[in-house]
Amino acid sequence: MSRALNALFKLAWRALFVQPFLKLLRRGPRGKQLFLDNYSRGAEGLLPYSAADRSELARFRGCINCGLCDAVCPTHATPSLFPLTWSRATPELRNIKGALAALDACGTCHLCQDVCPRSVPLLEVFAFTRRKSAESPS
Amino acid sequence: MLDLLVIGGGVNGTGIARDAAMRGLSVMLIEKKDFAAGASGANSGMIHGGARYLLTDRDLTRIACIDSGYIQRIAPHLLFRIPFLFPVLTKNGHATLADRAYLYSAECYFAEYDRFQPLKNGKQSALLNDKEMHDLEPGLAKDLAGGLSTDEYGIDPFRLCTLNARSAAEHGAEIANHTEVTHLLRGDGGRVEGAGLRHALTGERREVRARAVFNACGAWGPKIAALAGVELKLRPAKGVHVTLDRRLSNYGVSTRSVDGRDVFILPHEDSTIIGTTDDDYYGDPDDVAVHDDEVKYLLQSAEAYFPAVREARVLRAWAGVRPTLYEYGPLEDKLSRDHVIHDHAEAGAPGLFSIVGGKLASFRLMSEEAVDAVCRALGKGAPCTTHTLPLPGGEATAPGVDALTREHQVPPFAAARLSYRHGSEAPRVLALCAERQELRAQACPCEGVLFAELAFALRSEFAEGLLDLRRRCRLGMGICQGARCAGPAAALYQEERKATADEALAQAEALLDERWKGHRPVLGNDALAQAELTRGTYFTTGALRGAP
Amino acid sequence: MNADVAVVGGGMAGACAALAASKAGARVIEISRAPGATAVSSGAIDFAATSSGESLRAGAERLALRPGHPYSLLGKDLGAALDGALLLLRHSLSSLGLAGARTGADGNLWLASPLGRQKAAALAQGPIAAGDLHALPAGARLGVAALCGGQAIEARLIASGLHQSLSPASSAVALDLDFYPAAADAQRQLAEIAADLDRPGRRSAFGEALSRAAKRAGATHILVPTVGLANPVAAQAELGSAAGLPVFELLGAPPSVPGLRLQRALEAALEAAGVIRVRGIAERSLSAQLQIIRGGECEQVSCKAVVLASGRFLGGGIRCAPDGTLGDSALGLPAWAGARRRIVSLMNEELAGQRAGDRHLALEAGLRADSRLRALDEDGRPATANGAPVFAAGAALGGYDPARGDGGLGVAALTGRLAGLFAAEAAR
Repeated sequence: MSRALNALFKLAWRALFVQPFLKLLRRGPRGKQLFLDNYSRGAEGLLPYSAADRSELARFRGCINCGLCDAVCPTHATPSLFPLTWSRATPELRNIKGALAALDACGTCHLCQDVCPRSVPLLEVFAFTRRKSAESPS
Repeated sequence: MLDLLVIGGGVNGTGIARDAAMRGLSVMLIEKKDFAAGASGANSGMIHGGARYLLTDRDLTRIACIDSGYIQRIAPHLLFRIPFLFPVLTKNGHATLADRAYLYSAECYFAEYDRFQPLKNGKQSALLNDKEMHDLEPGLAKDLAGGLSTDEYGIDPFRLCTLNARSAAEHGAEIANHTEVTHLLRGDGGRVEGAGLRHALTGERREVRARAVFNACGAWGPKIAALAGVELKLRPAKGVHVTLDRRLSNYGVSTRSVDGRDVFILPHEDSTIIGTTDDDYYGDPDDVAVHDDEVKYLLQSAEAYFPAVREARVLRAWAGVRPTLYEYGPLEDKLSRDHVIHDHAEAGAPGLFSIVGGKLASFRLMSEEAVDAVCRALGKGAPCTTHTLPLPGGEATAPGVDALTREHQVPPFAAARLSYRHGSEAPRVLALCAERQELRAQACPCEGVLFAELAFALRSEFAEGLLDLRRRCRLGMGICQGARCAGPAAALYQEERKATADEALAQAEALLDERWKGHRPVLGNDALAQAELTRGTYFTTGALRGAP
Repeated sequence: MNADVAVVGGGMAGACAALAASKAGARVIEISRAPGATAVSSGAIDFAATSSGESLRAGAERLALRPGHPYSLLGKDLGAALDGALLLLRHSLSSLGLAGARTGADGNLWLASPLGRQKAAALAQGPIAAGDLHALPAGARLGVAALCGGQAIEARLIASGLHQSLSPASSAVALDLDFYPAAADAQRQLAEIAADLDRPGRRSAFGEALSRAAKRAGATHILVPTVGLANPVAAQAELGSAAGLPVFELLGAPPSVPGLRLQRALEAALEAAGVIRVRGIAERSLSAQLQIIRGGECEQVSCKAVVLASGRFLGGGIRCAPDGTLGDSALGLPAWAGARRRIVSLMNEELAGQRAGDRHLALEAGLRADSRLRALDEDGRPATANGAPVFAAGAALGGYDPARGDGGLGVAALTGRLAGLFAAEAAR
């Protein structure tokens, strides 16, 4: 019981005296800047998604790994890996910048996207992955 | 005669076995299924610093943060940072005085938590206004009163348990998963002196004698205690999570459900998990099913704070049974998650110990306490070293992905995932590729699992089948839920185990069945299309079950 | 845009409907969004599971007893419909060397599956059908080519599975090849290998590698994961002569080379038959007419009959709304899973069994139809689109599950052909 009282007292002390005082004195980044400094600039690459990313992401969801896109890709660049893995988590992108270079050979022939039974907008997934990869710290 | 027989391969059991083995006790660990097959693998996978105890007992927060720091030290590769956002909603678009007061109290709360963050290499919290919250996560609900950030860690709980078991083995413990207890051996004065064991796959029986027996079976604990005629009371609670197909955000979001409970939206590996429910559960812990309304409850809570969840693809729903302490509480969530270590000597079963309750994040500390109790009873054992000696793969910095890719000619994504899962042991896994070039190929492209990693798990990580491989390296846990990998993995299993084709295909079907169990409660357009493809591959084209 | 018959869907059912209607003299347009289940199929066309030696007709009649199975709608016409579908397929897909049953009196082929089991199917593409396991001579030793990467690992499972089911009369063994020796070759996918084999000189080099490996292992027949993509009949012959032994092809798992071939052959057959092919999304316009959405454009289709052959969930013909309600995606007709209109998560096995391979009514979901394959509306009356009768075929029809031996592409071909004929008749 005394532990709980002590805990609550510390919180109340913080709320009534310490925090208002600290807020006045505090220097350096705060708010969003502090958050971004903490997470997206560092080695972990925990990038925020923009509103544009957010609206796109909702349409990347239909892949069932049937592999038809891989089968028709003239460069054998395995397009399915984009919706299946690479676009799923941006922190991974730091590690696969080399693999993304396979897109350089992509002539945007649309074959992969046209053949998709689930209408996954593959070219948009490519562009998204590339964009987020460029934003990621190396 | 052994010093200690540990029953249960969850995070407590494997943690106790490791701790005891490192203190020089002779140890055997048994588990009736596989490591982390119960609640240890069916949780949110967080190593948190116990922020909730700031209201009740600050020492608990301090201890939890210190221990989170220890886990980073012993398994640096396995932890990933989860920045958390705590949005404060408004009722009708305007922040009332109450909303502002709530925000301010949250600000103070997390500022207080910040004092403990350095103990676990955590980041300071940030106070964010409505615009800043939406800049960082545009998918959040509109018109927030503002919000706060804080900092926690996630972990792959399956690997944590496996690495504990492997580390125990390296320190001399005998490890036997897929081995169940049939009865306890009793000596003079009802002393528990070991157990009768049965291998679940071969049916082989044996008896093992030990000076102490530790029951670390979680929700199954009362069953083991009952074998010694001891009543072990706990209040089992069912926790349901759903998995979404991708990281909706790199940040966790804390939400409050309709009944006032915390429900978290968490980035976990390459996916998002939402959880958890918390309801009393008195059914069979071996057979926990997820209900439609539990999935709805979670999604509704999440959508109120993060409407973008509505457009996401729900891959699966899963459940575990938490062994919460037996104690009266008005709402299940209010029950303490804390743990108790029982010495059943007074209950007429000297030599038998049980651990109940606890949480993933403080497993190491609980194991230390548990082994302290055993050492006292046995009058032997060195001091605990589990916080200083690394787990396998945590000995050194994991090699760079580029170097692994170049040297072993494997896809970079697979190398990155391997490096996460195996840390400094990654080159040891990839060395298998020199044996046969085929092992360089990916068995599961969704999660970047190489055949080499499967072979390593089958040879060196006590994996007995495809379900174990799922827990070792996330086989079949990606978007297609086993559609692509069940067959190839079964083929590798056959080679590695010199199994018959029928045995290997039974393994493939077991994986598909287990994946289907998670699919079944969330059947929508995507899940149905996926199931149509998966069944076409295995049961139509593959004729997995033979001619009808 | 106008036509006598508009067919929605370009897979097996849609193609058969369009071909049949076109042969019957109708002017046909075929509207498809993208390939579907046909393009990821195995290369085999199955009408009904049978026991060894049993006729297809007997198998189909057994299925017709299952309430809700499309065959159950056809009554006495089932036998003739089966013969007609076999004939249409063999005629239209001759470029694939389609072989197997000629009429319903014949039985199934027994083909090597990608898991090393025996898969029963009435018809298969030439190089696959040639490998009928029940036609192997006694004492044959089947060599399963292990090329590289995951394919090589799977080849050993296939060899061991086939060995188990073929012995003691004959046997199977894996052939380790040196055709793809580089470390990077481990990452090759099957479609990539097929494309590689189509390059000049590669197939004969492959045949020679097969010959060497077969000699080492004492194989008398060779099973390869693919003979190449483009021209299976010629490719098989070329490989066989280079290897000096009979060479067969395995059925394909997704992404399946034979499936892709089948889709392309169907498209070529449609072109040859003069069917107008349109890429776009078919849906119901406000005036209850069929319309096609292409990019931002929208075009009305005026026709005298519609065939819905748009597949199930994979093909996108049947959709499950967020609240679980089932309907067809083009015209919004009601679809059923068993007796239910909605997919709900039930603890019992009514809609979905407990194991992956069990029967799941949820996965047999589809439209209901009458004996003339006219799709039924909510009230059980034949549906129309702006006055034109609507027929249903293939997986868009509920009541059969290819994974449970209810017939797969064969049901699609049979119902597709009939729906095409009925639609052409209605348009007249």
